[in-house]
Amino acid sequence: MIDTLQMLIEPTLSTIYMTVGSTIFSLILGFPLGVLLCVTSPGNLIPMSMLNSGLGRFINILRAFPFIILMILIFPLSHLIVGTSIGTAAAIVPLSVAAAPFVARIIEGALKEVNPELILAAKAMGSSRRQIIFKVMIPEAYPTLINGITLTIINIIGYSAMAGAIGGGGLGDLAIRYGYQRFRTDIMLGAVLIIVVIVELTQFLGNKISNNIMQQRGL
Amino acid sequence: MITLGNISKNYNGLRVVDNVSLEIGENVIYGLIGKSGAGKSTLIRMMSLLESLDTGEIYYDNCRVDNLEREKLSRCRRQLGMIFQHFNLFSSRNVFGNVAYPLEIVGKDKETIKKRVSELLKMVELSDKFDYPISKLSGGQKQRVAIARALANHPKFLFCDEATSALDPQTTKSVLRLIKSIRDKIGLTVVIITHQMEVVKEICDYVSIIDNGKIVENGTVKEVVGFPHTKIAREFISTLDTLEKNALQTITSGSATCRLHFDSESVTKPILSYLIRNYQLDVNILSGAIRTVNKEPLGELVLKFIGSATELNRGIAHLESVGVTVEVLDD
Repeated sequence: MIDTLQMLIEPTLSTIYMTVGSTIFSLILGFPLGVLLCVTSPGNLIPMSMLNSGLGRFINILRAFPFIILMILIFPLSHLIVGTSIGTAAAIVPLSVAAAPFVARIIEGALKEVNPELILAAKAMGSSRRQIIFKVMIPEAYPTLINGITLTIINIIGYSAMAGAIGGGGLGDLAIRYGYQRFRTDIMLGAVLIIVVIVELTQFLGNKISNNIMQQRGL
Repeated sequence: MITLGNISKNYNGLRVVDNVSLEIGENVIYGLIGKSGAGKSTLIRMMSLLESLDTGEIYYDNCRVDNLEREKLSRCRRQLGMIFQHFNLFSSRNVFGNVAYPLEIVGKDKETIKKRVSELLKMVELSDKFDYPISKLSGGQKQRVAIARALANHPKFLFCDEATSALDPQTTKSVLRLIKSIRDKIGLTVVIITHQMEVVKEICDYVSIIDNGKIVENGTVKEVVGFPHTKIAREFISTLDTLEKNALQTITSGSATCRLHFDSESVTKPILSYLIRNYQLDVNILSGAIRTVNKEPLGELVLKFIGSATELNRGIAHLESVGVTVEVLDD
């Protein structure tokens, strides 16, 4: 029993490490793309149809790739950035690249929900584009953005289990190697249980933050 | 002063604003009234530099503003404030934050912002609500926050885009009074877009009637309400009272139905009884109203005259000779 628990500790930490790291990097990559996708769309703040449709297509292609294939294709990039293409740190690269287009679409959707009349009012007061994006659009979209980011984190947890399959470590890796290949049902169940708990906890926190913001706004 | 020189705008081949020229003087409250789809919203968005022009020019105090580059345009917009039908307040900010926004974007420091916001909230009588979320305010309170926000950077012009259309009559009056008192106190040129004649009558000094993208009638409110020239102007004015339109339509021929407009001088004289005594005419009163525009009484009567054609014409000629405008509605 103690032995099983001990075996679970390190992979759990690896999963958390991969998830947090990938979330941060996918946000860094995806957030600006999402803002760009939203503001360059027709009728929005800075309409640029060529850039908008080009970017949209690029993101769609990236999202269409099965994750496992993308991961292998990205090996050289991981090697370039982390110095190795195997291990937990290396897994963060394909995870971030895979989640970034998802983040971009989530951010785009959230920002597009902002009432265009508010943007008009901000314009009428003489706001610059930067002020409209950062002082109006993003704050107005906070509750939807938080929900979207929660969704992203949960997706990344799922993907990280797959990253385990190519030596990324983490709970997914543990479940496959011990649980599936060596018939250690206890370890498999333990790993799955921990993933369920992490997902539940993430969702709970996300909901709480989003609800708090709504409550502050009296909504 | 705002000057519009022959401005036009097309949407999908449709001329929404058609060659409008207008001069709006300093510290004037100017009403632009029209039915929905008349082009008034586009017009105010062009005036407030939110919408580009197809042709024409716009000047603020003799300075051309319709062809500015983006940077200068943003700066120029800071001399105008705007309020909207649906208030357009930021839900991400509370009352204080909303009023502070225009000050933040021009880079005012925290202390200055705090001082100015409390000044503004006092002016719109919402000092006690500074930390309220927007969603907890009533419609009238929201519009007052919007007014405070619009005036934060001491604008020269205030544009009101159907600002009272979502409010009940009582609240409408109090918001309009607030705008008027601010104009009187600090000096401000106000442009009001509306479809409600009550709004124009309540606070405007001048009014233009807009139909199909064109200005069809222009003048002081007293002139336009008292002596409307166009059919559309009359329609707007007749919404002021509850004239039974059906009653008008059932009148048979052989008589004449007329609308009489009395000015502030003729309204106090016994013109009608003189008419009946001296001409062979019978009179049936269909509707009537005396309204006060800018504290002066203006009268309107809809009458059915019964009598011979010659007597009718003599009677009408007499009425016009004593300063009553007669408009024959049917024969």
